[in-house]
Amino acid sequence: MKQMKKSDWVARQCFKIILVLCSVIFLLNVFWPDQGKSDVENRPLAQFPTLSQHFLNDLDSYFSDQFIGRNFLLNANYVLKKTEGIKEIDGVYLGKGRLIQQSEPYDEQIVSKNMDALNAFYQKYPLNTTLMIVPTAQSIEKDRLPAFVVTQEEQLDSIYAKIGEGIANVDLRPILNEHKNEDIYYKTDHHWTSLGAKYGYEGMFQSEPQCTVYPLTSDFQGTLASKTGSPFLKDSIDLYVPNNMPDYVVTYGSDQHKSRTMYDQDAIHTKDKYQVFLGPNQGMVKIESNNESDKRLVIFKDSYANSLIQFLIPQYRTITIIDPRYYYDDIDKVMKSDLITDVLVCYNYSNFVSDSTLSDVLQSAG
Amino acid sequence: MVFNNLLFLFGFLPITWIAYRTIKKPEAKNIFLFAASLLFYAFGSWQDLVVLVIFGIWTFVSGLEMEARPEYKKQICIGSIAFLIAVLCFYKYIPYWFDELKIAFPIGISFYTFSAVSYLADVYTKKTPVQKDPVAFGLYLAFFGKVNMGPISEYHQLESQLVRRNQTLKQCGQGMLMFIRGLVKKVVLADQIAVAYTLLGTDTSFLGAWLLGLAYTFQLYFDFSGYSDMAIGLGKMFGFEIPINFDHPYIATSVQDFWRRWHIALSQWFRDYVYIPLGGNRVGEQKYIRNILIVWILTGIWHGPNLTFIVWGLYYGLLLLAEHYWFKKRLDRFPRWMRIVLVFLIANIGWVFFSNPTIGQAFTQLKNMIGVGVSSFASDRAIYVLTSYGLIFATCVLFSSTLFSQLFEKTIQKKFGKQVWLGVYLAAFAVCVIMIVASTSHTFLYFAF
Repeated sequence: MKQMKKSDWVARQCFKIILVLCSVIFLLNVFWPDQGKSDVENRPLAQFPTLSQHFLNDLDSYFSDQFIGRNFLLNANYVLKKTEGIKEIDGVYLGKGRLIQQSEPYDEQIVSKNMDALNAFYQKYPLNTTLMIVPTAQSIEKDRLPAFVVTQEEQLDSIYAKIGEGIANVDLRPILNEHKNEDIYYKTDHHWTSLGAKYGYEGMFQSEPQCTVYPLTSDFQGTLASKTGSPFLKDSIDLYVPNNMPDYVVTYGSDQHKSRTMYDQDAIHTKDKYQVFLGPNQGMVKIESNNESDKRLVIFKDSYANSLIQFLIPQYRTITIIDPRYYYDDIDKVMKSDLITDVLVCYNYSNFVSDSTLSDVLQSAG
Repeated sequence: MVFNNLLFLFGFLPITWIAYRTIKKPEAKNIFLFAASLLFYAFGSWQDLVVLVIFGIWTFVSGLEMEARPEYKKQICIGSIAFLIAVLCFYKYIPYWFDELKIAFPIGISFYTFSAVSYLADVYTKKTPVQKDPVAFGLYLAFFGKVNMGPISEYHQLESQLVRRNQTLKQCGQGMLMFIRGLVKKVVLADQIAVAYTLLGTDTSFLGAWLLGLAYTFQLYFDFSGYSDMAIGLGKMFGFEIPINFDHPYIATSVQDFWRRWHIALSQWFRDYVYIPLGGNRVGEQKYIRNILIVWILTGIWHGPNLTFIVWGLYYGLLLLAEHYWFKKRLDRFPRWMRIVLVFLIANIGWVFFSNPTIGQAFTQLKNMIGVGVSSFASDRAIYVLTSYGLIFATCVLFSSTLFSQLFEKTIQKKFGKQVWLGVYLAAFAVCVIMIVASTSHTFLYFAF
């Protein structure tokens, strides 16, 4: 009998507390000012819906997007999952002391398409052509990954086997593995650091660039921190400015606006601080330098190349940077009008095996 | 809308409960609850609501007609049920055969069709009188607690609660505890084990095939029984006493026992409205075998249009016959734990048919489970899942048995005060809310303009 009363007490109290709690949270949600966007999730948040066929659905998204304490609850979820022994949240591995993005699955069809397009492009423009596929942290930071995660070794080998004669291949595995205990990838972001990119440069030119390092911020929580809700890890961003950096002008393709630096200092006040390197993703960016070089480079790249470019500026008279994911113009015109002498394809492994826009742009040549 | 949704937990539920409590007149209470239920259902889609309302009116009017024209009672009953089943089949099977038609499946139609059939059959057999109050009838069919995923609840079980219900704080409290238990089952266990299931999707190692099977076995149980618990809990908060739908099926000691514990409402429905009208077991041996097979093939068909579901139904039909005629007595000689393991394995194999889209794929997984055609004993991925989700698998085992509730009663209830007990429930609720919020997170690598 006593047991019964005890359980009744728990039941009644539980009901009262949760009813009050839920009602209070409801009222708070109603009166709390709405947010326009989420820095943590890097996206606009749903706003109060207008009357339409989807009103109730939209109301649902609005309520969960604007839910009070949402960011705190996302952080709490990370702590919970980590405590449970879960080693992966939303495609991000919870590694030792860092977050490591899971690579996209290797898509043989896309890889073949990209490689065929590159080989055909070389046939059309037999210039000094280099392919640099940067292994991601999942491949290099094996020791920091959860046990039994599959890496990218075989897949990289099979990509390299598809490279046509005449195209130089930069296999960064040896040099990156040599430095694998340094911070060559951000702990909280899916990109490599300036230090990593410096090793990338070394792998490409077989010489070490002489640079001055400028620490920019030590308060960077990148995309992987957002995806997992990890509240504790933070990264530093350093700029590596080559000692022989010439004067140069950067022209951004979207609005043709010009800048005398590739570093967008304003980015450190935003969420995605990696944008300090050449700003947000753009279809085409051009860099013209005041140096003695007679080489003119075109780069087909994803965002990994953005931090590599700081090392490349002294080496080339002009650099034309094309991000095939956002590029819809005539590539032949660029090759001719920019008097291109060198071609670099620089992608991270994950994008190269899953994104076929490179082949679309290269194939449009002709 | 679903129960593990922020707008439901922190909007719909408290507002509906408080408003319902504030209204004094029983008729007004019923009208309000019915309207709230329709709104709840409309969150899925407006088109679905139209189907539900048409079903409701059709069934309600058929009931009245059966009373008004007793000479055509049988024809009306059969005709009305035939229409309901035909519409159900249309939505369930036509999109499967003609996938180019893009017909959206109305949420919960499998459940509320069976509720409607139960009403017509109960009225026909005079188990219950005709319901003349359209709101009370509407509530039976569309109460938001059970409209999406049951329990099906036979009409005669709920009839006395439809017009007037007592709603005590004690009952509300018990409902809340049950709701939280269901929420934990769904959000903490089912949804997390579902991730492990997805990770193992194409694994063809021996360990991978077993883990895949186990992950599905637990996901299905915790998802469905969690949802049923929440439904029953919500029912209690509004004064309904809906019978339980799952009773620890994975500690069943025979196949028959398993089906007394798994989706009880469905088994009862088939027993009361198909098996017994066919003569049940009070017929000759041949007819008995026929009845069992009919019931189980229909059970399979009810679950879905794929051939795999029919095979799954037939699998249980044949197993029940084999148990009845052959291995029941032998089984009884085994110790209890051995019978539990055996029945659990039988359920696991059943779910392999249930979970795979084709018979071929089901057999591939079964072959892998006995070591035929495997890529390796244990793939890296399988070991990764085991190490990453080991704790959750272990918790699933614990929650599937009565071990957990015994443990809970012995330690927390007896050794610690009631405050700790309350704290555990509140913490569990908080954990669920955290996980629900996380499930609505969409992080973009590049700002989505």
